[in-house]
Amino acid sequence: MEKEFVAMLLAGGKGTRLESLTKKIAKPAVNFGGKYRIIDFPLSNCANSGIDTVGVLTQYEAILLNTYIGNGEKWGLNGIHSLTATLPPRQTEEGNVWYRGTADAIYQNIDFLDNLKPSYVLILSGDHIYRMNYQSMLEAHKLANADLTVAVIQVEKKEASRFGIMTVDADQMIVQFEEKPAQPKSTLASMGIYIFNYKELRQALIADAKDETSEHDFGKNIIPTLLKAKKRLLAYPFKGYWRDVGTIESLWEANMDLINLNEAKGLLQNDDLKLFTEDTRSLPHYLGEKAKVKDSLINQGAVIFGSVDHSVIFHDVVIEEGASVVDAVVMPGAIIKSGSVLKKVLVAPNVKVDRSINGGANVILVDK
Amino acid sequence: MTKIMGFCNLHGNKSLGPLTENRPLGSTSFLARYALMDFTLSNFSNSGIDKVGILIETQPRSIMKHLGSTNVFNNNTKLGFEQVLYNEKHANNPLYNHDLNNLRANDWLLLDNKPDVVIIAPSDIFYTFDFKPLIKQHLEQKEKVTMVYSKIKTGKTQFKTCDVVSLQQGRVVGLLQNLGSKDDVDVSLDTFVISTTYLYQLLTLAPTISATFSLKELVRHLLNQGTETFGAYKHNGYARSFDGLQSYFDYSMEFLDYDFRRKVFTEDWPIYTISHNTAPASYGPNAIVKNSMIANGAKIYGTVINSIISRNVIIEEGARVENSIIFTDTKVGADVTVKEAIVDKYVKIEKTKLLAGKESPLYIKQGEKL
Repeated sequence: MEKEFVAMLLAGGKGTRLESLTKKIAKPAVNFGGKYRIIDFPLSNCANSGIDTVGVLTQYEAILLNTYIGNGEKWGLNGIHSLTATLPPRQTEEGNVWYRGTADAIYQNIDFLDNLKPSYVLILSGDHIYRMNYQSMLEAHKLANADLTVAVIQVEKKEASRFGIMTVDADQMIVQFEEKPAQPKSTLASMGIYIFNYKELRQALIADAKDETSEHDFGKNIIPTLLKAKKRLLAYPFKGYWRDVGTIESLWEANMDLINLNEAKGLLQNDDLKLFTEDTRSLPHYLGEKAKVKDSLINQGAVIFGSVDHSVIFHDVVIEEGASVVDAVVMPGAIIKSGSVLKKVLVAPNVKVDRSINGGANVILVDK
Repeated sequence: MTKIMGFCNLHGNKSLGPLTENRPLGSTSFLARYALMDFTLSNFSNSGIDKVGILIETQPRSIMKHLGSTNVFNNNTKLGFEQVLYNEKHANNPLYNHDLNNLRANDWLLLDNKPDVVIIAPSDIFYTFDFKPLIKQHLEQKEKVTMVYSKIKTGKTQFKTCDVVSLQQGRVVGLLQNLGSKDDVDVSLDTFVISTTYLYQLLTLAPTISATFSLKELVRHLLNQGTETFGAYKHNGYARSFDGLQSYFDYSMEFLDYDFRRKVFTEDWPIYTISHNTAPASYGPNAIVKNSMIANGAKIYGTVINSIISRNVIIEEGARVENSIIFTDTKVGADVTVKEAIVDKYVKIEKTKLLAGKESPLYIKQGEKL
């Protein structure tokens, strides 16, 4: 099997800042946008970019994630030439180790990649909400004759120290790169999306694995090493909606963006970048005689007798008569009992809420 | 292990008036996201019957469009199938284009799969029905045929084009059309369990009596001549016979009663259908929606009361939809009022500001620009 372009999706992270939402499931499996899970975004992007081979590296609490990914059928990644493989850490002749970093996770699956003989490898993470055609990025990569291309976006100055920050020359070639710098020199941030020439990637990973001082991280180790070795590193600017949804606040905000922002509205319905997910086999959603719904997204299977304002309601949620939700994200199967008034909250899946909660300045995660 | 095969029978399905002019009843949209035949197919799936033939009479296009090459109804996607069976030979001759001839033309499916028992179920009678106890009774009583009936108290107004069974000691001894003269009747649900060896006998026998006999007509003949009696199985619970535009409308609107919806659609009996990967429905700041069912992909900016809104429908600001059923991809423009209507797919209502049915629902054809 020879493949020109394959994707490796890093989906092993815990997402500690998502509190109890990631207690039993990995971050990429967290619900988003009324109907989806975060990982639907990169996987749908792959499908729409003509990529048919995806390795998904899982580690933390991976049962749900592994079964959700399955054979890739939900994203059409199960065709005759397609391959969707979940790649958790494994026992080998040398013993067994966990994935010790993003680069190590790929290193430990070099045999998987060798079998595919790819020319280019796309490295993705399962933490971000955005729509992108990776094929255009590959074209830019080839045109610039680059060894590595990093997708980049402008971020706000105060946010910059959370990202890999770089400076580029007039040809968009990266001249300097710092992972999470205390004093950022620019606001050009890495989106954690990389296209490598596989030969370069392979060499770099093998060298990195031997380096005992390395943290085996793409941002901290691989990119700086390649830069030092005078490899050609291209920055590929992305213009569009992109959010890291690593905290309760940012997850809630990105959900709200789907109602507020025209830019974000196109995320879910886009003819060139169709978004795929599982079908919950629910009936169309139902609104009762006294229901009031405005400015909201409501998924199939929801049943609403109360009032919903400026909220995202997932499948099989019940909002009882006399209950009211404002600026809320209510995840699958949650029940909001009569008399509860919720404002600025994120309600975890399958929770029964029988009290009033006002998020005020901060969003509150309601998980029991 | 008894091998069972299901057949979803679209032969002799009743007309829903203009709704079924260009599509069979089976692929007609229902409750904003389903096709009517999804319920029969889901009954098979939920009863563990994975091998299903779909006997179609006319208009294969709409069926192909709905089913495509799907495996949403199958538990095992290699072993299971929904095979569309079309009687090409008699397609243009209505007299001979009946279910028995279709089965004869497509007997390869029976020969390939060698079922012990087949269930033939209609798509114009709508029920949620576990076939497992029915099959069990059929096998235990070693029947040639077991027929399903339902006791109803509304025979004068409902199931009017269906048959009424005569029962003696729990067996079917006669079958006559329901002429609507009595309310308390046992109506046949056009659902037949037939042992395959007997099915082959029927296929040979039918043309010696009449080459135009459908299965139902043959069964009627055998019963009424006193040649045979058949097993009877009573279906308790929800069943409706779709036999016109009005009944389609009424039987849709019933589901706007939440308790009714919950009684028919239970968690242990999911209804499968083709998914279109549509985003959740979105509501604008001035949306007012009450007592309605809304499918994904719909965009609601106006008012919707007592209505069923299908996938990707747009209700613009100032528009008002009341007591109506709106099919997929239709747009109700700004300040337009639609009342007591069934609006088919891909309709754009912009210039006509009022569309209203009176005694019977107004029907707007697919693709109309108004």
